[in-house]
Amino acid sequence: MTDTEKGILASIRAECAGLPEESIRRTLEFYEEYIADALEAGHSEEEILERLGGVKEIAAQARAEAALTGAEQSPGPFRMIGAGRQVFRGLAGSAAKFSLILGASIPYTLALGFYFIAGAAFVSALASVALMGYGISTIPNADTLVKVGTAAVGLFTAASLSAVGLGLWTAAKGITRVTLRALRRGLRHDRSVDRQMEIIPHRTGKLRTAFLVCAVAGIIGIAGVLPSGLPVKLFSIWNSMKPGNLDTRTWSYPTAEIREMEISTMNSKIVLETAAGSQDAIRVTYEKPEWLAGAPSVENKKLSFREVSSGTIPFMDFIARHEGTTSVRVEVPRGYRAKAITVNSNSGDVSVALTAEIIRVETASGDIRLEEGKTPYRIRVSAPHGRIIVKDKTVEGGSFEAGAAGGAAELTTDDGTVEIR
Amino acid sequence: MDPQMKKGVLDALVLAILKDGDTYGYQLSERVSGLMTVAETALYPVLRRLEAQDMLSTYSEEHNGRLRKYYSITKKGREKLREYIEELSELERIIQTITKGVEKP
Repeated sequence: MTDTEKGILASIRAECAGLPEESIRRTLEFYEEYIADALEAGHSEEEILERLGGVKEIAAQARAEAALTGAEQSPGPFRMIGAGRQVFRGLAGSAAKFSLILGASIPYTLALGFYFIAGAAFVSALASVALMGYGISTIPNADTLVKVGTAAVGLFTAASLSAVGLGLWTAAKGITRVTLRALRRGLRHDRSVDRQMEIIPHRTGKLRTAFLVCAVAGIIGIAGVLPSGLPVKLFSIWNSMKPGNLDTRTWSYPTAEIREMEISTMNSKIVLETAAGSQDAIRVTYEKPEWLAGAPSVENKKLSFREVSSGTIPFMDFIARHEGTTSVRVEVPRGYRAKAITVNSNSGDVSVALTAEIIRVETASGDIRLEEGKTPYRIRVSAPHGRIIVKDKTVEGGSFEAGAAGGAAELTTDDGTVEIR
Repeated sequence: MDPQMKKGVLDALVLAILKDGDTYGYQLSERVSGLMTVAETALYPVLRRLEAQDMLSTYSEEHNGRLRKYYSITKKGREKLREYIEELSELERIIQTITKGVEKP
């Protein structure tokens, strides 16, 4: 091998750095032989280099060819991006680059979008597994059926999301093939030969297995979740349907024992009212659904009632975002006036029709209704995202203040409606 | 000649040259450049692709103490060439029409 030949080959090799060894070897082999033959025929190094079209171009071509072939053999997002970049760089002249962008950018972007959504579906499938794992850990050990049901919900969700992800991924791969054909066309500036390009067979075997696994997991999920009755319960809570097996409990307290009240619920309604009949005790009635728990307690003349999740359904905090149909009702005798009443509900409605020195009501999304009756309140209302209606008239601005001394009422809601009558 | 048209016929040209007998890279390039100006960087990918698609096969023979790679057309390559010829004869008719139009306006 002459020094001239070695020089040219060394620069080709240097330019090819980073390519697969096999690809470099074959490229060098071809040019080595070509240069040797050309030198034998009496051409100078400059002549040969000029005819070869420059070392850089050779390397760029080889790189584009290798990236494209790799992507065609196993299409995927990263190989497609790599092939797009290498082909773009491998093209000489801005006209060729421009026509490549014109031809390939639409399927390229579309494929990337599909890959992204498919990836998001896979991530969501993983997240649903993690979330249900957490949900299971919040259920007491005794509730095996609910635990199994929760696991089954997770399995079903993960399987469905994975199937969606797989479908989108397959579509993305199909679009990738279109993109690669456009890239190949750009590399060769040639449409006529392209139609006969070898079509790499789709490997559908693995995909079919993956879909089958998803389907089986989904069916196991449904089979596991149905006996626990969880879907029906979730459906009825989410859609504010009144459960059939309500457990109604009542407690009574002499008026002298209670000066203050503090009541909080997840999504049960809270009703505070003056009793119609001639009772002389404070009566608390709770319609308790299976998935919630709560009982009043009295300490230092303060009645407290707090509704919590009974632990039989995971993610109660999340599910109980809709207005509940169960209620906590406090009935006081005529003439009774509490010192302070504090009421709090996440999404349950609150209705107040009694008198107290101070009454504070707060909800996130529940509606608040205050009936002043004969004793007026000094009222302060804040409903930044909700509505305020005072004596059938809507008040603009998200806040309202009015009234004379007699009692103070502070009504706060995020997006519920406050009505004062 | 328009570079796009040129590259379009390169595959067919390579197969046609090989149909007449086996040849090696430099000779092939000489024969191609005798017909049209094209950089060898365009020829090499064509050869690799045709080989990958089984349109041509290769073997090595010794020459001046080194190995020379010879390209030989395969059965599949011949079939493909026939397809190209069919396509190109259609093009030929179009070219004839165009040139006739120029001669007799």
